[in-house]
Amino acid sequence: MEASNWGFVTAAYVVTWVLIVGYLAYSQRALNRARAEYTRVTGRKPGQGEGA
Amino acid sequence: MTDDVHSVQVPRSGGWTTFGVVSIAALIATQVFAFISSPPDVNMGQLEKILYVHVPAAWVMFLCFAIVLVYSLRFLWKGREEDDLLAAAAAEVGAIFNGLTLLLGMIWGKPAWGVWWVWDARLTSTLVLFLVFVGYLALRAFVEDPQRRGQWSAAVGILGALNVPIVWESVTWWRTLHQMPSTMQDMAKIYWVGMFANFGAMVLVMVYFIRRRYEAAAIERAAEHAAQAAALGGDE
Amino acid sequence: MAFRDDVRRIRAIAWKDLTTERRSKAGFNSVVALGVTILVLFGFALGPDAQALRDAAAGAIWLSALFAGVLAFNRSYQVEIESGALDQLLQYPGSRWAIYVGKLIANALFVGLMLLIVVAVGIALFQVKIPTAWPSLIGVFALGAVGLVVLGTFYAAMASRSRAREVLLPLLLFPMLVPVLLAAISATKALLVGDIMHESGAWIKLLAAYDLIFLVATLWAFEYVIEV
Repeated sequence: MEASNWGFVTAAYVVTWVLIVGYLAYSQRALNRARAEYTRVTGRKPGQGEGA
Repeated sequence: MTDDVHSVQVPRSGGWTTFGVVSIAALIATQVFAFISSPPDVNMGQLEKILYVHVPAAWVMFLCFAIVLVYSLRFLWKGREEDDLLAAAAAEVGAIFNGLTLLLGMIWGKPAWGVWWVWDARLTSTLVLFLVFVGYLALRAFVEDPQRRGQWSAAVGILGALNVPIVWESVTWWRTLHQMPSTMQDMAKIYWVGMFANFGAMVLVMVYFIRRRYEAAAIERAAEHAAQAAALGGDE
Repeated sequence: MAFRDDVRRIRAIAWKDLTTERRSKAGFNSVVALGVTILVLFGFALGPDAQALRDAAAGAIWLSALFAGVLAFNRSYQVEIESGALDQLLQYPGSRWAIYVGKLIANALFVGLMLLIVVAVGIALFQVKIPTAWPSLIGVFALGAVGLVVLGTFYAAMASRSRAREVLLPLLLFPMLVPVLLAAISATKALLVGDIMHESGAWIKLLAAYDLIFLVATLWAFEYVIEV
């Protein structure tokens, strides 16, 4: 009983970190895409100075 | 509502990247801490270690619903697009933590109850709430006009958040009136210090997730605004 | 003075919605036919054992009414969308809630009548014995129908005007209706077998509370949803 449950505990933490790292990667990609698009449209990097 | 998202000043990543690193490190630290210092669980063969992620994830899910509620109300009240984008980010992050709660609940349940799913009150309610999140995100995916998308999402988000306690209560009644096995927490000795520490760290991660998602959405909208302005300006 | 205008507007909208349906009797008839068809399919899925059918009757009746009702909700905005009349209606000040209440009334009558027929057919198909507490049963059907109609009418205001209306309405609506369905089905089930545990009272209170909360919430939120 003890030994077999370690598999499930491990699986739980693996699933947790796959989700966390996966979401981090996904949102970082979305951020990079957005920044690239912004720079493409305005010729400026986002966060640099007030724009109109 | 012609609010220019472009005016949202996105700070250089320096500040938030550090925050992100700190929050992830904190989560690892609190998980290790709970793992090592929680009392050994004789009956369940260390199974209750899963709860130190499963329960905080559920609490973070509720927190995300609350954030969606607050920012949806703010958006309807003030009409600032930033509020809509933040609510949407919180909904997406909420769906992630909701999904995590479900997966961990099932991974706990298989050895504990022998099956991958039981219609336990909490697990079932969590599943329904996941579908509520999904509905919100689907609505946003199908509506292109930002103004319409914002107002519709806000209404759906507010009603959805309103329904959270009602869903919870009704599913619980449904289970108690028909005798059900004891819930997860009853079956394990919980080490609450570890639980709250993990919750704290997970909140930090949640904040970082929402911030990153919001940033991306805000910059994207700012780019769209700028492109529109350029198109209108050049079209003379 | 303005209130009386609103009441008149409500009556006009409700009447228009209903007569559009009635003139196309096909509209109501086809929704009812769909409800009955779904009921029959449930019979095939859960039967033919008589006891199994009796146990499943409450759930089958409510779900059949729900699936058929979804069609009614999206259709209740169809006329305005096709004729572009929505913009005209919105010109009048303070008319948003009148539009909503008018549609609520029309949908309530439509769905209520449809539910009545589905229940009657369900009683026959699923070999349900009518209990002595049938007045309470009528109360459950009324409160449950109100719950379906309030949220159905509200979400249809958005779904019917979006790209993927057939999937969006159920996707938004069904999870939100879980409390109504649990309460209505549980109460119906309990009353059909004599309610030995006296649980129907609690469910009926939940239904009433839910209806009230979401009636108020959707009344408030409707203008944000319809004007955009």
